[in-house]
Amino acid sequence: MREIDCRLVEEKVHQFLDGELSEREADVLRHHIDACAHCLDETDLVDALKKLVKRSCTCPPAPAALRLRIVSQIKTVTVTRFDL
Amino acid sequence: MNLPSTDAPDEVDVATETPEERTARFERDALPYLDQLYGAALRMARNPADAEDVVQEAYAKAYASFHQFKPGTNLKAWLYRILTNTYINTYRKKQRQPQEGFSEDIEDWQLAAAEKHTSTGLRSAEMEALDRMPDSAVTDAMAQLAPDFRMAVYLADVEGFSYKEIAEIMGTPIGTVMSRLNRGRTQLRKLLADHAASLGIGTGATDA
Repeated sequence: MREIDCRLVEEKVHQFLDGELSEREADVLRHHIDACAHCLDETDLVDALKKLVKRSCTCPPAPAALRLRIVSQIKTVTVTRFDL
Repeated sequence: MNLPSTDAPDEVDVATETPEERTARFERDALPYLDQLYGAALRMARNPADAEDVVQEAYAKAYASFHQFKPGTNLKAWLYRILTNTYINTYRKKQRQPQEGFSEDIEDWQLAAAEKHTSTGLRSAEMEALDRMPDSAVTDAMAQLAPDFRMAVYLADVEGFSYKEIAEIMGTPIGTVMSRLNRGRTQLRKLLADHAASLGIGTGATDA
């Protein structure tokens, strides 16, 4: 029984942490994770990884020149259409 | 039945809208996502010049087909979808050129085998290593993932999109999203563990 539960956590841990499980499914997993050191560690690791990715991928804002190019591109297209 | 809606549903009659009105609506609604899209493009393209090109082209395409976008539905996901397609098309064009750094060569069976042998002691070491991992090591590891895996992880963990939205953006079934996320994160863990081991932190074989 225990092994089946661990396997279920292994299979669903990403969906669980991504908030993609139903409340009922999440409760079943939570119930097992709370009592299983192995699955608790595994869940914590994936959670830490998710947070690490989010933290490290903070990007600089788009360059002002790019914004200007996009805006002028849009305006140019509008004018062209208007002329036609 | 609720349609996903990130933008206030305003009363726009797309059919009778003048070009000027459409341009103004595009600037007001679509342009605020520029920083986010540029950030995503930086992760995809891996160099700023290519990222700028991809974003500019994506905005041009989005503008050209903005009349097809249904106001009140998920504009952010729609823009990401265009950005992703633009990137993929550019990438396909360049595919003849030698590519560096793709991680398909980390076989899943090797990862699974490694996983099976991870003891609890090594897990806490892995946690410690993750806690101390510098951002640059994470972005390097992300860059080594296959583009589809990198994108799925980015969209889920950085942008916080749901699986359904990622499926729409990437044009794949939800099952594919789940497997890309699962494999992407597993590869990322392996790469970070290797990095930590090479620095003598955490999960290396030298751990007592």
